Amino acid sequence: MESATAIHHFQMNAPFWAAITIFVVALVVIISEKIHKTIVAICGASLMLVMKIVDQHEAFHLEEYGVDWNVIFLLIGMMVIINLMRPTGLFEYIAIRSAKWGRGEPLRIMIIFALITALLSALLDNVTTVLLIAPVTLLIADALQVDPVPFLIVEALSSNIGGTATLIGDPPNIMIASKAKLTFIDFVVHLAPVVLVIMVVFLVIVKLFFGRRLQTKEELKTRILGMKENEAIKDVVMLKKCLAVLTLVLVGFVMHGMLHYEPATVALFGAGILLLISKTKEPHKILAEVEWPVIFFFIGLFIMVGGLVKVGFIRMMSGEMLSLTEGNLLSTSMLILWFSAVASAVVDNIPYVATMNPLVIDMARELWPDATGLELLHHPDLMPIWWSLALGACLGGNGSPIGASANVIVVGMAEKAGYKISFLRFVAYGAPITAITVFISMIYVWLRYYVIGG
Amino acid sequence: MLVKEIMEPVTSNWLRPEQTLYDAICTMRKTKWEDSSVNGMVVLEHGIKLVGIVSIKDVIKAVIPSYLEENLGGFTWEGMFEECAKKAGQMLVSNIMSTEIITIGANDKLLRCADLMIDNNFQRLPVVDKSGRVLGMVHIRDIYLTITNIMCNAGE
Repeated sequence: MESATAIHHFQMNAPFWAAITIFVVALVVIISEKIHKTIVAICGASLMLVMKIVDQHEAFHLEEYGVDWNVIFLLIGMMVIINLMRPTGLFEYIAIRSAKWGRGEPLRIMIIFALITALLSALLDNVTTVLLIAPVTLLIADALQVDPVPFLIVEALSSNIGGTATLIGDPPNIMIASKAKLTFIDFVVHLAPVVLVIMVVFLVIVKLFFGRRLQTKEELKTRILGMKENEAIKDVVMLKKCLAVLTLVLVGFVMHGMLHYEPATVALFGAGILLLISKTKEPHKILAEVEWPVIFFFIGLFIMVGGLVKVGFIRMMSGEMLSLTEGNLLSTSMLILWFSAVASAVVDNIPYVATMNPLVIDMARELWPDATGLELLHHPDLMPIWWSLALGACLGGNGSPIGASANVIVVGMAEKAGYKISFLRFVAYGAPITAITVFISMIYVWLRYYVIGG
Repeated sequence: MLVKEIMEPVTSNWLRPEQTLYDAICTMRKTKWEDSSVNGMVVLEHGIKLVGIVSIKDVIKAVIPSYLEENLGGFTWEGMFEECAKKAGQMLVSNIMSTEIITIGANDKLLRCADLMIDNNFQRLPVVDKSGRVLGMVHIRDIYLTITNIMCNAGE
């Protein structure tokens, strides 16, 4: 009965159904992979505008119905910094160095690479990290004459786990942070502890599972030990500039809450400085390497979700969710955590989080009608819901090869090198790890926020 | 002059997409045309449909690991070339062949054929009849030899 009354608050008129139709059709086409997702998002967004479900001013300038430029410019800023950094060879240096540190032992190397991937994914983005680590992994596996596929899958899983720990680690976190006005430190304080636990458990599983299977011959290990990692460094001067700017940016992220800067300001400032001191004469090349399809996918989705918000569909859904859990916040948290994990494994987690963000806010409005602004967004009882959403959406990406961009990249690079990773082979590793990591998260959320109390 | 006058006829000298690269290379080494081994062959599906060409460049590309394209070119070890070559031998022709093919008609003029090869940087073109069936292959070396014949004979 409650849901029926909730529905009557809205006019289920033509724009209402049009917005839902556009969104659902777009989602189905994205999942079917018949048309590139960026094209689908741009077409869907422009349809929302053409049909006047949202008008252009709302789409471009209002936070509630339109593009979240904080997310867009944070992504662009970080991409520019990384594009300038890649040719220096720093990442290859780190990877070769760690393989030598692993003394050419396959299991040691697998665990060290998993740790590096997780750490880099927390500080940069997942896709960049796996793009950099996968080629070195293929080289090392060839040198040791072992199957690179388990290494690559372990790295994809690590990158999604590591990315969960920070605001900039994974796109869902960037989106949640922007919408919920959470800071870099908030993420470190609330998510990093559980990610640490998850990472330890994950590595123990990796050791138990692969411990005996990964073997190589002694003489092959000398191939690794004979590699000179210094040869990877192509440009020492540029490398120093990059490290200086990266440090500045990371300090900026740590301080942005205190200094009242948005994360995008920090990233853009870093990108600007690095472009300036790199003395590049070809900014068009560096800017062309920004992953514009990803950026426009975000822009399109924001506008499409803006349409859903404006016609009231999201508010209706949040009412449904509350009536389902009868307003019990612990059950709501758990529902969001597990539902997010499953949804993110099946669908891209970016459209999912774009839809869930306004839903969570509408839910908060319904629960605490008198609160506004930060008082509402940071309501103590709402915080565990944000963290459940982040944990579910990020960790759920491990469930299937299409669950997260890092997985797609790893599968693609393996195939290019002649190793086919089938959908099921990935799921065989990914799904159990997702279940275990989300289970740990569930215990964490329950203990920290409902037993001990925020 | 016409293309059919200098082409190498294709009879049994073609590859199958499901062959291994090892098989393909042994076939290519055994096949002689104008007293030397051929450097490229057409790939025919069911012996009829033209689906690709394998040339020495495709073979060499198959041997180089994809990851060396990154910043890793310097990290090789003693014996890596041999290992890569042996590993590439197990690949299938369908995975390494060039699939961007330009064909030429048997009755086309040789000058047009030469122009196509130079403009597109091809070493050889499959020759087809009107229905698209492969009749032969024109090698760039044979075009060059034809030119030398014309020049030297005229000079004498």
